[in-house]
Amino acid sequence: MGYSGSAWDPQWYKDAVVYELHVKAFFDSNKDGVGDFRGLIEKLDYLQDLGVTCLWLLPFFPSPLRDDGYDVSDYQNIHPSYGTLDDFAQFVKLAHARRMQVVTELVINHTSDQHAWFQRARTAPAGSPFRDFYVWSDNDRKYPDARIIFLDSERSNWSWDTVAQAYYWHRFFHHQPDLNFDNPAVVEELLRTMDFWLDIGVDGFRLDAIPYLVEREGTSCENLPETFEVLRVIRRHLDTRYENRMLLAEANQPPAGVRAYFGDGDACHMAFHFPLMTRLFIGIHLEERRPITDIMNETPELPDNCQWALFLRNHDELTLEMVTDAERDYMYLAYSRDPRARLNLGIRRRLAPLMGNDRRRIELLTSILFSFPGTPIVYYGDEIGMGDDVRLGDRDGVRTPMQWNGDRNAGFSTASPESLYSPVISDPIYGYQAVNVESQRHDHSSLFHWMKNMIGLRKLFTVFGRGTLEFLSPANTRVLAYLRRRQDDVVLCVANLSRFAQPVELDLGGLAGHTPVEMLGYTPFPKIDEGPYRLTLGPYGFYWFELQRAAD
Amino acid sequence: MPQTDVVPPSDVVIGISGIEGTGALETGIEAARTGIATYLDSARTRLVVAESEPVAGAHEHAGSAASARVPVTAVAYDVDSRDLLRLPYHGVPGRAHALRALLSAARDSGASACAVIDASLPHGVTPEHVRWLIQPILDNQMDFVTPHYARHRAEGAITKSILSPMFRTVFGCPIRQPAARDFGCSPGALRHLLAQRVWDEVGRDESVDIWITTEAAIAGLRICEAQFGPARHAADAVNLSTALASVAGSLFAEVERRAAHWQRLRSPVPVCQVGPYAVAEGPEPDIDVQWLIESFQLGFADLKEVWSEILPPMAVLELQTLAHAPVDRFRLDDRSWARIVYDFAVGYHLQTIRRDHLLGSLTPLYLGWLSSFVLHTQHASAAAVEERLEAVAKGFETEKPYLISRWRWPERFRS
Repeated sequence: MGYSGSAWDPQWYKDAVVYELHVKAFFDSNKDGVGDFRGLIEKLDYLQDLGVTCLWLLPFFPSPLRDDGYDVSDYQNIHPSYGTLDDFAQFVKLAHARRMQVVTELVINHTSDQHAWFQRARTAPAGSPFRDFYVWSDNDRKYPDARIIFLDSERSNWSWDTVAQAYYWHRFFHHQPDLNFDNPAVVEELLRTMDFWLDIGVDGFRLDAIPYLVEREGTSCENLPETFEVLRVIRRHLDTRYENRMLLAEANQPPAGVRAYFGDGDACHMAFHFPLMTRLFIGIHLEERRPITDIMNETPELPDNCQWALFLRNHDELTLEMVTDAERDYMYLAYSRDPRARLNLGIRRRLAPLMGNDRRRIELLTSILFSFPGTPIVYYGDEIGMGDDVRLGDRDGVRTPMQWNGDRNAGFSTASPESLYSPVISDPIYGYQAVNVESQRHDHSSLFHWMKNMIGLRKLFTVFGRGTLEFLSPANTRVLAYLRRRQDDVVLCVANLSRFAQPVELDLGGLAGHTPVEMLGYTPFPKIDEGPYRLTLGPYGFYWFELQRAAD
Repeated sequence: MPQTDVVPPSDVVIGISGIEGTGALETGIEAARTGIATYLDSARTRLVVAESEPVAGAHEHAGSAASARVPVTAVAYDVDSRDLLRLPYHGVPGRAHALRALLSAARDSGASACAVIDASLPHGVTPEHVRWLIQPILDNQMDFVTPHYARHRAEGAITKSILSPMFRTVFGCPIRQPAARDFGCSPGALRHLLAQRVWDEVGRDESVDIWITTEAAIAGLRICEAQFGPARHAADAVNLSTALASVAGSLFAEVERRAAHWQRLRSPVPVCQVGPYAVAEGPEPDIDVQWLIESFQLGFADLKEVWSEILPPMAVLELQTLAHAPVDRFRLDDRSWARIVYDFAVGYHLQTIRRDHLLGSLTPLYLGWLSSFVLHTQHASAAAVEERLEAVAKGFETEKPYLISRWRWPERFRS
């Protein structure tokens, strides 16, 4: 066993509150219009004040930036726009000093076509080890059952390389050739890359696009046993050399399908729960709990050392890949009347616009995010209700500069506005003059302070990250009610998905004698008896109760 | 990590720390020897002295002591240069490192019990320290022993007014001196304390004593409070504000660090008592109540605006009424006082204002409480004073939900 991580608890990720951010979008310290690590260091106090405990950074490696950094051209360096390796190491050290863990991206499915490995491969003889770093074919008819993911921009998973005089395989953009995980040298190189970042102090990796690592004829080339074996190799390497580190799987699959990415607790520690995210949006729009309870009932148990990663929004579109056609149509109608908001099979919008800027709906969804079994992830800017810009290409509209204040460029940069990597949001509703950190920190009734309080509250109760989940079944299906239990802690959560006040009768007979104490204000409610427990919830209202035993 | 000399296998280790070169260590060692000879098996007991490396002659001192009937082993500890620049309440630079070195030595020697005694304390080391810090561990299977010294009613008033009642309420542990610098440990307690990863943190010197007691309370260790009799008290040579800021700051820091624990704690930690009941000895110091009240009134005039950032309007109004009250009606209600202390703890947590300013502004309020307490108990017996202190603690317990609600959902008091 080698280097110890910054966290004390091997399962620190279960209690974490993760904050996802892009270095380029956070704060520009050198006035070039692009955020950088020195800028991020300046804002660590803000993140500590917000209360998040883990920072997940989107790709910051050298890259031609044709897919916002997911087209990596050098795995062991920093994109010069963002700073230097020394800057990064300093950032990690200072984040750890504030008791925040750092998770970075490991984009292992593919590289940029500008990566030295690909340039070397295309000129190497066919069948040679260097050539075999990637997946080649003489024709574009292999693996016909593999779907095309970026339907809006790609027509095939194969592209012709004029230098190699062969087709190369790519599941995403044509400039992102897939690595060949049947070549042991590829795995060795990636393990070396992991070591490089882990030795600097990185606490974990988000493994990007991992369902697609291995290809086999006659399959969809997704979720193959050989892919899971690669993950186990990575995990064994991690556990052998390091302590208290974490692997987070990006596998956009139904819950039962994602289960395999955890293995027997010997593959990934965490995986995103994509379908829950979609069902939350469906549930609140339908004002009906069943889309949410159904997907959770389909969610399998995990090994003890594993955890779901929960999120409402992230840097990508709100993906609708894994929903039924009817659900997808519903989501388009409900959340993207503006066709410009649609991208691939998804909706490229931030949380606040999706919620119609309704503070109560934002709070309700966030309360569910924070109280469901898993580790919540907050996308940068969502803590202040930032908006988006559907006029920008690809997913750039949800990756605009962080809005720090009402000054020029939202306080993100003092560069001239035209040199910013992206325009700031400037519309009357979500623009930086209306929505920014500075004003919300001064306003104690702001969304920022609400988020800060909720994060603080969640951190007080490990039952949220580690407890069991048990749904209640009140007759009023506009109300979502569930119990979380861990050891002596029992928490009752009740959420009104409707825009109107709702009554509800809960069957809590098994908890007779307990006193529900509302957790935010520590207010005792009437004691539970054998009969139905009656509550009334305001529009989009929610309660979290600690259930205290009489003997307490 | 401190460099630790090898301590031979021992049944009991008595660890002594203190400022070297003042004679206190030598005095402490002799007192401990007497205690060992009286109450323990000298052949299986080891005295261990923590010495900071930069002090010349430290090892000579240990060497000369080693010739006596109870051998002394010196363990060295590092003093961070930042420790020397600080002005800690305890006055012993590198105290956390010294304690760690002593505890490590005790653990490594396989001791069945360990006592740690601070020779720089005003009351010094007595043979009774050895007895009451060790016997509950050997005879009663306790894990952690903390002392209680009998004092006159207005002595140790920071502890009586803030530290003890808040510690008792928040951590559910009814001990009267949670920041005591002497304590006894079982092997289990040694292992637990040494396994914690906070020893290297900057600032721990000033709060290490409260941290140790807190750790014992929340780890479920079997705790015992030993009566040490009257304190041979001499006032610490530090400014009141410095002492108050150090104690309250250390307590608030532990409250912040342990929020996830104490907000769910609903069962008190059992604490057993050993040792003879005692009352303070000697004449009671004169208290100039008029000066205390005037200090409070001056503080109200100067700090009302600052307090308004930390305290709710109703509390400020109560203080305003108090500031204008005649002496015969100068009473600060127990629950109001508890809420004030809790509001300061929340303000410390939220960093409503700079923490040093916040803690500094607590001094006149404390003097107001002290005035009220002294007036309230001016003709009271020792037992009645104890009842009064119990009522203060009950006020803290009654208001614990207030602390929790304020902590979880802070309210801004000024726009």
